[in-house]
Amino acid sequence: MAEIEIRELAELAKLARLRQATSGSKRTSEEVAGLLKSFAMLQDVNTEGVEPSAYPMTIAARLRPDEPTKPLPQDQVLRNAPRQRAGCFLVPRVIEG
Amino acid sequence: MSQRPQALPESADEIARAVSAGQALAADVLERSLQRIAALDGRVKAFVEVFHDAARHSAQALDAARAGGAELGPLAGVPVAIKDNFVMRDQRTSCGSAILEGFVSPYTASAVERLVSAGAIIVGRTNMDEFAMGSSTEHSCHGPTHNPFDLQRIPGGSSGGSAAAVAARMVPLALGSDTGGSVRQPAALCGVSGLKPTYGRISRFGLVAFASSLDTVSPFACDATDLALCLRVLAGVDTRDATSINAPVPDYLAADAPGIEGLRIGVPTEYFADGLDPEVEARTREALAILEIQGATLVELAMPHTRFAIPTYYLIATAEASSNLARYDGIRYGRRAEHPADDLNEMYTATRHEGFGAEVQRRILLGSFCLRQGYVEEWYQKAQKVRTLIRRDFDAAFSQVDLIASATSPGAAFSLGEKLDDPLAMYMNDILTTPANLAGVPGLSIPCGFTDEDLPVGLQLMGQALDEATLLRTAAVFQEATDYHRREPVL
Repeated sequence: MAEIEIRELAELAKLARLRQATSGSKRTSEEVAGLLKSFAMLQDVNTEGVEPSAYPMTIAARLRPDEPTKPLPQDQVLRNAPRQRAGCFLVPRVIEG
Repeated sequence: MSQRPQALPESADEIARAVSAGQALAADVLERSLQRIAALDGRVKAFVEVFHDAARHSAQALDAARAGGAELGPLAGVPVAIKDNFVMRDQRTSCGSAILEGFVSPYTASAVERLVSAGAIIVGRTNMDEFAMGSSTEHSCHGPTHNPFDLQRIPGGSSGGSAAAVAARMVPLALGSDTGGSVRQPAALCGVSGLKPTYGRISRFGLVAFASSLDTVSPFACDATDLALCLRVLAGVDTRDATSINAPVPDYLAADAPGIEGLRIGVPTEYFADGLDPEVEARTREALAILEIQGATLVELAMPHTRFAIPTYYLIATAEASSNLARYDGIRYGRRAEHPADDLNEMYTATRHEGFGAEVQRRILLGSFCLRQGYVEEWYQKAQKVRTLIRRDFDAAFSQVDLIASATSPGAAFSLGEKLDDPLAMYMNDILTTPANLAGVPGLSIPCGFTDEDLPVGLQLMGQALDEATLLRTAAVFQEATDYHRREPVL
C-alpha cells in the first residue's frame, strides 16, 4: 500500500469542495490518514476470484414501465432555492467573458 | 411545581385498538403525548420540532372519521415520532445539518405516507447525528440528545432522538434509519426495541440518502408486538424505490405461529471477542440462557470475516456518502454561504465548509479517497469483495442455524463528549451491527438487562433475509419471559 500523504488528502479536499486552508481542515486530513492506516488491514484479505458486492441482495433490479410521470411543479422546485430569478436557479457566473 | 404527565401506559397496539373501537379519542392520546414531551424534552432533547397544530388537526380528523362510521387503520391514533431525515410535505427536514437550513419538503417519504394511511399521528421530527453519520447523536447542529436513563450519557446514534423519545415514553413508536446500526445501537443504549429489516423490505423513497446500498428504514417501539405491527404497515414494494422487494408481507406475529421450541440460535465466537464489555457479555449470555430455557438450541459458530466489518463498512459507506452528499452545493436547496460574486467554486466550497460539520467532512474526504482514480481498486473494490466474504459468512451460518445472537453494542451508553475526539473509537461502537447491513439481513435489538450503573443492555438477533417473522417471534417469546422492556427511566 502506498503511503498516504496528508498533502494528497488536502488536494482531494479541494476537489470535494471542502475548505483546506484552516487548521481544522488539516486535522481532518490527518484523521483520515489515520483511519486509512487502520483500515489497510483489508489489503491482507485474500479476495482472489471473489466478486464484489455493490448491493447486499442478488435479486434482479425491478424496473417500472417506461412511462412519463408528472414532475414537481416549477414553483415547488424553486421554493427551496437560496437564490432564483425568472424561474431559474441563480448561480455565480460560470462562463468567462 | 408542575405535575409530571404520566407516561403513555398503552402500547401502540392497545392505543390503536381502543381508538378504533371508540373507547379512546386520538385527540386525548395525542394530548398526553404532547404533555409528556413538553414536560421532559427540555432535558432529553429528543425532538428538534413538535408539530403541535398539524398533529392536533390530524387527531381531530381521525376522531371525526371514526364518529362518521369510517373504519380506521392498524395504527389509529398512535403518536409517532419521525427521525429528521425523512421528508414530509410542507415540513422542514434538516438531517441535523446546517447545510439544509430552511429546507421545506415538497413531498412525503413513502414510509411516512404508509404510517399516516394506517392512522398514525405524526407528532414531530427527532434529533440525529448529521446525515446519520455517528453513533452518539452528538454530531447534530441542534446539539446533543441525552439518554433518558442517564442524562449525562449519550443515547446512541444516529437515531438517538427517536430512541430517546420512545424510552422516555413520549411516543410508543418512532421511525429511524439504520445504515450500520443506527437503530439497533440506540435501541440497546436506551432500553427499547429496534428493528432493522431486510434491505429493501421498506421503501427508502423520501429517506435522505447516506449510503444507498446500506440504508434501511427501521422502527423503534417498546416491544416486539409493536415492532411487528409497525413493520406490517411499512413493509412492501414501492415503485418509487427500485431496490424495494416485491414479496408478500406476512402477519409477523400471527396468533397461530409456533413458539421457539427447537429453534437453532447461532452464537458466533467472533462477536464475543476482546473489546466486549464484561457486563454486556454477562447480560447477553444470561439472555441466551433464557432463550435456551424457552426451547431454543444454542450453536457455536465461526464467522471469520467479522473482524473486517468495520473497515469494509466505513470504506463503502463513506464512498457512497461522498457521492450522495455532492448534491449539497448551495444552488437548489438549503444554505448558501456568502461568497465572491463571480466565483462558483468558492461558492461551493464556502457553502460546504460552513454547512457540513466536522464528522461529515471527514467522511466525505475518506469516501472521496476510496473512489479516486488509482485507489478505487485497492480500497473501494477491495471493500466490496470483502463484503461478499462477509455475506458468505452469513450464508454459511444460516445453513446451520435459524438466527444469530450477540450483544448489540460492545458497551453500555458512554458519557457525552467521551469519544468525540477519537473517530476510530466512535466507529468501533458499530462493530457488532455493521455486518447485518453489509449482508442485507434483518436484525433487531431488545432490552436484555442492565449494568451495575443501571444502564440498559441490548441483545441483538439477526435472521435470514425476509425472515423478520422468526426474529420478532423470538423477541416476543423473550419479552414474555422477562420484563426488561417494561422498565422506564426515572425522569
